[in-house]
Amino acid sequence: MNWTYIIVVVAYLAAMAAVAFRGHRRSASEEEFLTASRSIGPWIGGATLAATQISAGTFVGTLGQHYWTGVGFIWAWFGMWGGWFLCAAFVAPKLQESGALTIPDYIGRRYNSVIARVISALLIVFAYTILLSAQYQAAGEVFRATFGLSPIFPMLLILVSTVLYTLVGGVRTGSYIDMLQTLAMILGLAVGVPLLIYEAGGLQTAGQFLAQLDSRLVGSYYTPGQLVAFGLAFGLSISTSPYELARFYSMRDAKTARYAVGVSIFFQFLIGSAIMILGLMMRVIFPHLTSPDQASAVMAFEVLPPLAGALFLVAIFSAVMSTCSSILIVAGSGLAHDVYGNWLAPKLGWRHDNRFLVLLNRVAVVAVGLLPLYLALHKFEIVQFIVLEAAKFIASMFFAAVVFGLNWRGATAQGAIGGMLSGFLVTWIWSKPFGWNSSLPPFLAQIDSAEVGVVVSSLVFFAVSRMTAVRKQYEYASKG
Amino acid sequence: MSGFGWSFYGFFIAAAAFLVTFSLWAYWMNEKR
Repeated sequence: MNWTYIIVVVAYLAAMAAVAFRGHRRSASEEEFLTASRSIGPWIGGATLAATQISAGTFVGTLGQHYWTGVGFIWAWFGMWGGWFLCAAFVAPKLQESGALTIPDYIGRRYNSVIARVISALLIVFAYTILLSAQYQAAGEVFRATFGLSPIFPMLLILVSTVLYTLVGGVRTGSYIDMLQTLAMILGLAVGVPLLIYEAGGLQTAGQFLAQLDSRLVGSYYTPGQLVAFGLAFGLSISTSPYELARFYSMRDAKTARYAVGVSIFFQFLIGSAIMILGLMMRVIFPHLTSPDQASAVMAFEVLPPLAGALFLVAIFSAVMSTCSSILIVAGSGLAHDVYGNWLAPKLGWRHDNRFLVLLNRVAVVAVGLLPLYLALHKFEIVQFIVLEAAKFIASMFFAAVVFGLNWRGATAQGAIGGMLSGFLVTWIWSKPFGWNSSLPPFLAQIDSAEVGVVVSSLVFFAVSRMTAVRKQYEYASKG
Repeated sequence: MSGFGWSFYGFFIAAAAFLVTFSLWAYWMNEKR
């Protein structure tokens, strides 16, 4: 392995440690640990939202997608940003103002139900264990493909450093490091883009070559409708998923939350367009790779000079770590704050003062970080597929309870519980790797599990809410 | 063969327009009260 890589990676880890050290304050309360005492501004907040969303999937999967299908896929970002706009309009400000600490905390308070709180916390831990294992696996794959190293090394590197800074500084340190990581991603891409355009013989020559290779590469491979629908579905599920939503709690006020979404879209635009150009230029330089997912690794280690390649590698690390850190906080706090602190401890009379709960949040971060390592080492599925599966579960379980719950007064606890559980069950049944998709009749099996999940959970949510609300009125009337 | 066309250059124009519109909307929402 070239020394440049090692020096750049060590410098990056040192920069992270410096940021963690400077930003560190003693987290004496859960409010500080989980929400940075609600002090984050729009720029750091926006960088956090973007860094959490941009994951290994973007640097490997999306780059490969552009390599394979050309320019057109870039338009899917508009669907994604449409999802973010809806989040800024209907979800983020209200959630920021709710004063909760975690998503299950919001659900528990909104519906005044401990059961809804505990169920949502457990579902979050389930879905995010899967998502975390995909992130570890992606990092391991990049290393195995390029250095021939066993994937356990990069997995452990990411696991140990991410768990460490997350457990030491909580959301405050995590947010500052997200900013650093967003800048690292932009730097890696900013160095790579001009070098690759140069290698490909300039933008115009590259465009002409691609047009000759296949005219769809410079036009559109997918129809506009397909792209926007895909982007919107993904955008809605990501912008309403707990690991993004929890970040709004750390922002100063509702105004900051709105601006932060705008800042995040700006960062996504920079990263997304750079990824597109890299994918296109790779197609010009190596038109016949066996798998599009190889494009980013081949670029980093065969096309770019060592320093630029190392910066790109750090950008991938940043993408993985920032996503992992947000997941660790959300899943860990679900166990420590919601399952233990607000259910088990008061019920059984165990200790649950603020100091102890902060400690428990830290322990939970370690536990939740270690759990998926086993899954990642056993490699059940390809990375992009696992990420999608987890996203489908999350959308099906939480969309109705959170989004409609924020905007509809008639929602009840029973409706929320019914919505979450039916979303989970239906997605499980429909899921190809986990469930019984192959035993369903073909016309049902071909519908996407997230679509079925969101629709069924929303229907159950509304129906049960109406029924229970009516019954309450009736009880009230009969008492009166 | 002319190379990149509307779907490439158009994206940057449309994205800039989206960002400006979003910013104006957010500003309007935040300052209206």
